[in-house]
Amino acid sequence: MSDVREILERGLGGAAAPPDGFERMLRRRDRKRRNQRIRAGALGLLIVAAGLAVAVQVIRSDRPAEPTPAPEPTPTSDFDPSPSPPLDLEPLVRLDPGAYFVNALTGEAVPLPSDLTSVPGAGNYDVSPDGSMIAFDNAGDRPLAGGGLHQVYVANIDGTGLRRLTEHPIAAVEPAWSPDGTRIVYLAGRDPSRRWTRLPVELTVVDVATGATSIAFTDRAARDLAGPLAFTPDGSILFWRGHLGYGRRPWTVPVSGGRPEPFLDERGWYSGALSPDGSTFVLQRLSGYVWHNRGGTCSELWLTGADGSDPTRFTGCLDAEGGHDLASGAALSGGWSPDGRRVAYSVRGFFSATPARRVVIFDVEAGRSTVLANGYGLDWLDDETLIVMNQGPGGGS
Amino acid sequence: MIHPVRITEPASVEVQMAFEDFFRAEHERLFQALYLLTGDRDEADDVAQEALLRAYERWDRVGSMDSPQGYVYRTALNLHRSHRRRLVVRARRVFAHVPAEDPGGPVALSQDIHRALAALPRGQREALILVEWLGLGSEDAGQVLGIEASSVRGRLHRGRESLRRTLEDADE
Repeated sequence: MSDVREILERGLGGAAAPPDGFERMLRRRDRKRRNQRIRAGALGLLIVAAGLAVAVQVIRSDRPAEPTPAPEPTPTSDFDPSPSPPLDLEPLVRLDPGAYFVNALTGEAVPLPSDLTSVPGAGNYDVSPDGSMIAFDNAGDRPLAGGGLHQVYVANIDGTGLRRLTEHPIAAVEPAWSPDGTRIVYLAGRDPSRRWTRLPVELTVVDVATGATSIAFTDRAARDLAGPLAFTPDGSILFWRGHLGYGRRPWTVPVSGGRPEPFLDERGWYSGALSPDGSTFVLQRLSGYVWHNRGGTCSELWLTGADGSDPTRFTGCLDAEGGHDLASGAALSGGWSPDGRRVAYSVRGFFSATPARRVVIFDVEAGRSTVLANGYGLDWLDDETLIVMNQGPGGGS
Repeated sequence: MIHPVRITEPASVEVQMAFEDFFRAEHERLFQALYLLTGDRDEADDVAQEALLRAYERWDRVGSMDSPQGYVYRTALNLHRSHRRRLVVRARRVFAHVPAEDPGGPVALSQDIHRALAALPRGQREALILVEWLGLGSEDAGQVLGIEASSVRGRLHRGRESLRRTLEDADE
């Protein structure tokens, strides 16, 4: 520490910012908005008064009065919600809390083997390409923490042979199988409580049979490196990187390690998934904050070419016609079915007393969404079977 | 064959908390930097709040910047300069001088250090605090201040010398 910094520390004398800074900032924002509305209203009144004065002058001069243009209405909200296609939130099947294999066409649901749900916090399930094994972490839908709390597990799809695959001192989460089913890539070292201390995040590859690990990429800048992890047609690891969940874009890095390259030139996406044949992206974009007295974001889903071309939005922020308040929008949740015909995503009633999630199946060819179940999707077992998690009222379903 | 991608859900909760995480990580440091810069707790708090609020209002753009912190620091410095200008104009009109003492804060800034900092030209003071307190490199500090890194290093050198000299004089 330099002597000047010591001088500054002595000068500071331990002074700390007044408490409740964030809440005070929100109140300040509210005051600012109110004042802006008052000013806009006053301006409107002035315009009306000026218009009246002109009209009076015109009448007094015995000339026919011309209509006075009305002032623009004062906006009451900065948020212009984009309507979604109509969506009936009543699901095809209602699930009790738990994790299930759910048939996307019939709604038939079978609970996951109990061994696969026996680890507290089990979630983020990922089925191996041949459908014989499953990987998961114990971060589930809970906030991440450090200290080695979260690790990656593997088991046979019937729940037998369960074992912990990682022993990372900070955290190992979001496993994804390689196309040949021999390796798993996961995010290591991600500890959100230390996000701002530039803690490195690693993309670690582990050989499932031997447990040997290698690091494909270490992000020392920790610029919000995030999943979902996946593999591109050429076998590189696809990951997401940006800032604070905004302006992320997909990057790829060879499994053997090397220099990461951006997969799409354009920033502004939050997350996404490449279709199994590598031809189409489904991308998630955050459309902005919602100011209806509460903070929040709304996310939309788009289909694009693999190079980001021809973006077409297929979900919005409000299901206006159905009257449902889906202000937090749609989140990718399950991704592409193996045959590339369907995309699983979830919607969430954000402002209700008990936020409700629904997993929705989007038929790409028909361009139609169907609400499948309460909960959210995790991965496809086969072309028609989706793993769905319902965490109950406390978990938002 | 490419394995279908499993997507973690929901993303929106994490993102909703993103700015709050940023705020809680940066607020204290920003306040302390502004306190050192201004010597006034109320002004430091006011400028820090306004700078962070402006980042919040533009978060869809600011959050995607390479350095959201840089945006906030630059905004805070601009606000501080603007505040200063208003204060100077008001002070000239009403008072003979601007009171330099912190109005009764529980942890008063050391008067010697405060006077030494206040005696520095504004540019040197800002460079010192950006580099020595906020830990920015001279390149990053140059971006915040809108000047070359070499100019930052020059200001730093002169600022450090002046600060030490003033404090040594005060000790004698």
